Amino acid sequence: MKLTFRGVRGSIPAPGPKTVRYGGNTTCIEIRTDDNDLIILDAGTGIFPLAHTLFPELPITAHVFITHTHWDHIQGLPFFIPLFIPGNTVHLYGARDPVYDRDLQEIMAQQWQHTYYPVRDAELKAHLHYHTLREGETIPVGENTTVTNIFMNHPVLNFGYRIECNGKSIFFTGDHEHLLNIFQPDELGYEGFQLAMDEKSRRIIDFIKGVDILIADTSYTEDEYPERIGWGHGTYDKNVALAREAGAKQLYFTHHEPTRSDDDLDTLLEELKGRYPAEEGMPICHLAREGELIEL
Amino acid sequence: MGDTLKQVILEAETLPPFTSSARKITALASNIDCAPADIVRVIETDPTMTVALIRLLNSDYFSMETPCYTVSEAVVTLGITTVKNIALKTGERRTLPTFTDADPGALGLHMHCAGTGMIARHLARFLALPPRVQDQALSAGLMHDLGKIALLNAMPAQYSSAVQKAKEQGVSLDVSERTHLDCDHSQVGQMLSEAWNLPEIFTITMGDHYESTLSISDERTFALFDCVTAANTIIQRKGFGTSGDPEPPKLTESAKTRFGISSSEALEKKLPPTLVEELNQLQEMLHHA
Repeated sequence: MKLTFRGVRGSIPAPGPKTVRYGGNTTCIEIRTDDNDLIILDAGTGIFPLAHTLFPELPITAHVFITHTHWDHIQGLPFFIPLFIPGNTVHLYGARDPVYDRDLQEIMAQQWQHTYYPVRDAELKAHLHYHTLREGETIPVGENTTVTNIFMNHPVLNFGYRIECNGKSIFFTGDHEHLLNIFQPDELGYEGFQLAMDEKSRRIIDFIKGVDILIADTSYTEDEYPERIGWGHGTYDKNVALAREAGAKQLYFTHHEPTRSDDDLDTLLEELKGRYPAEEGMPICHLAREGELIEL
Repeated sequence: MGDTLKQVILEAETLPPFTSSARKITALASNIDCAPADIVRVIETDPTMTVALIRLLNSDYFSMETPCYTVSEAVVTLGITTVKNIALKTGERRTLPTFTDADPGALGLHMHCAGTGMIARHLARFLALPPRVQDQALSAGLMHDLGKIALLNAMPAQYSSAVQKAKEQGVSLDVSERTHLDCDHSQVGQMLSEAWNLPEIFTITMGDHYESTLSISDERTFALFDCVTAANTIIQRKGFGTSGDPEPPKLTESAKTRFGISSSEALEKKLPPTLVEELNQLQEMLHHA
């Protein structure tokens, strides 16, 4: 299995000289199974450069798994060029909207309205199939690969996806903030909330258990976090803790904060390695970099 | 199923919340910095908002490993933002109408439901039930009169009249409901709970909150049932809110045995001394929404 980061920025694209090394496109990860089946995690603006690499392979079948439908994770989809070319097949997977009771197709239909985009989805030339997923549903891709999901913690329903192929595994959190008790310890409801939260955290850890590569939303430092509680994003230290508890072998920090420069990111990684020296049980930590190819 | 019952069940699909909680949640949600716990506290006073979340989490789409009983569990699964938006959506189009002439805006019924939930949780605590079960008692107490809310929603004038006639004729509310509406709120509550795939405790407390005629599968559910029936008695004896029943129900034999007391006065003494203050705060919160 191979993975290539096509977009590693969080929230909004961040082009410019200060982000040229790690990249300015928003979330998109390309995964190739051992049989070269194409899995794409999220359709942020990074899916546009990915599309250009696919021309030699046309026609293609792409399995696009959307973690959640916030702009930075879907904004590249109308620019995914294979959608406009006959013979291609695109399977789009994602969660339901529980507030307005809409399936994935109904949610995504907004993006193809003429006020936002000149082409309606009915005009697309590729075969586009929508699949609204339930939690825990396992989707086979090709002969040897499966994609399974779990609800994480974000202001909208967000799936974390685990991809398994011939004994190798990748987990991507999508956007995820570690759970926090909303009550104070002396308030009624604190204990019940804590127990429900602990159970949920344990389920997430069990789901990620033993993964080869954990790719985690790491928008903030611990110092920045108190001002951003509830925004739905993770921190470096919390993700190290998650990776250790889950026994992940390698940890890739992604969803870089859009104002963070390449030099800032390098400094943060160096500081983190100082805080967490290499030892047994400590994952190897990396900053996700646009265009970087990783082979498992 | 009679036509009235069919109509009530059908219209319960878009059950609105109480005016007070709809206003409160709208006000809170207009402040981006509002505390998540404040949102949960408002939802936990409104049966419609609470049941919307519990129903969703127990639906086929979520198919949770363990059933969802509480607002806190919904927050852990959905996140506070989604929970807030679902609560807002319940009040998007309208709120519950007047309950009786003496209870415009159904504030009295709102107080009755929220007060029953509060006391049921205290009683579960008194029984030293586990913390999550204490929270279940809150939900079960809060939602025990969902059948009344559904009737009020579907046929406000007729239901208000049935409540009024119960008072005038000195008969219990369920007798008046059956006489004038061909169904009662317990029937409606039970049918809604079953149709919405709610956990057993809700079917039992919504379906029969005086003396259970339904079979109860386990001891913990029975304990929760006793907490809710006792809370329903205490809150009415205290004159907190309006249940629509001319007289408070008697404490059940099962509850007397469970709590080791012979009267509801004796049971009230086992509740925390802060209860009066808590009820005052609840009243204040609902009145000033």
